[in-house]
Amino acid sequence: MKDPKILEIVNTVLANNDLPLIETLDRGFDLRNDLLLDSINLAELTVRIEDEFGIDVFEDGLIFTIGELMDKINKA
Amino acid sequence: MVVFYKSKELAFSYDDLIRMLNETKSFQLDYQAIGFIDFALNTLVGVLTHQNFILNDYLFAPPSLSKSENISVNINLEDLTDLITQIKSSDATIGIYSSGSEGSPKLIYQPIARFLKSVKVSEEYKNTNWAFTYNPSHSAGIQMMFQTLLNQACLVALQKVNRTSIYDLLEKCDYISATPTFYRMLAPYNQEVERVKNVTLNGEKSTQKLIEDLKLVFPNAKMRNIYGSTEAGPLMSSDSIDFIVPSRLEGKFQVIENELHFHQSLVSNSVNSKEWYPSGDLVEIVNEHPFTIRFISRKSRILNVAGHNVNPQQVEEYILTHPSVLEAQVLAKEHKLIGNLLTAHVKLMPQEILSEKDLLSYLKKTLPAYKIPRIIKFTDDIAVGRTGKKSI
Repeated sequence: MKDPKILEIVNTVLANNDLPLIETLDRGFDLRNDLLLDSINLAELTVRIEDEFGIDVFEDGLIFTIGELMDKINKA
Repeated sequence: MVVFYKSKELAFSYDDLIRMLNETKSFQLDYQAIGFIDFALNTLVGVLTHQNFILNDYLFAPPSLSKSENISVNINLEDLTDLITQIKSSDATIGIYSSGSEGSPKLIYQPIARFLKSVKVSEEYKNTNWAFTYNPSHSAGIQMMFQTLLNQACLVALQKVNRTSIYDLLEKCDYISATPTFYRMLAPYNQEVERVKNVTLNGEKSTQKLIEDLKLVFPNAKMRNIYGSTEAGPLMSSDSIDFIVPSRLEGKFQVIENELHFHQSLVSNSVNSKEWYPSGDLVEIVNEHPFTIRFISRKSRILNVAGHNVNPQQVEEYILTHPSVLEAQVLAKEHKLIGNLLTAHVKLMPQEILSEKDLLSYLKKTLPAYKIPRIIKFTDDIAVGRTGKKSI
């Protein structure tokens, strides 16, 4: 199950950018509006995800929520 | 016995050099040497027989079959004085691969006279030892070879040598010329090398901090920071990071959109047909009178990060101000969302511990968000290219 690792990576990006951490992966969380990630932070998140799982989560277009992120990773 | 070349494994004398040159009966225009002696012999045969030939990297390139046919040659040297005389009267041209202003290698032919023009001959250099740090197949390396040969001095090989051995070999040297990347291998700068009289920095932008650190290692040496290029050769020197353009170059430099341009009279015809040749070096004008410039970085390194122009070399320099950091390389990962994401490889000082989080906190004190490398990897090895400079 990849969820614990996804949570760890998301919180790494949040911590590195002085943003509030999350305790669980709420599928409804919007990456920009709820997690407050800007473009550079999102780019960092996708690069870390790609380094860990070998998946380009933006391959088919932008994603906006934690749920979409998890689906991309777990279906691959 | 006067030695021409010394490494950890061997000492090769001028007598050996003359004898082997006289014994050489064939030459190749595009030769892949095995080791320095082989390289030097082929290069000198090419010079002595007035060829137009290519220098190939033997230090970093994998061994391969030589690419060109054998040409018959006949060399007759009486002694070292005869060798030097014949070198000086050669009209050979040498092809060297340079990084070019656009980043991709270009083959540039230079007449041997251009290298010899920059050689300083002096009685004080005879029988002295010169630290040999450059790749011999590149401009600075071949220049160093002629500098020592025409002065009947000795090259002490320091390429691909570890830190402890570097210090051991430096104890035997009188002069050293190297890139800032090479000098950073001497860190921590807690050993003194008293014998060295002259320290030259060349090939990359230096920082004032590095110059000050090297004064600790070489307490009796005069410092020289050299600016030059493969296309134009060595151009000017300074004892700091600011270069006062000498009067002989008045009217030969122009700064256009922060990029230094050379007048065509300074540049080999094989690379330039315009009046002003772009050097690929970004500069800052420090003073108008006297005209003084400071180098910022190579132009090819400017990146777009989320709509902002970023110079990764400046970011590297800031990372290097952290006391625990020995070496840093900032890289760009292409990203469809923001153009490029900055990442960094960082090598720490021996025994130092630093976390990614702590380094990021340090960087955030001064750098705007778009200049901060988002992924930092700590490594023992920063990639260094064939020229001895950090690879981009």
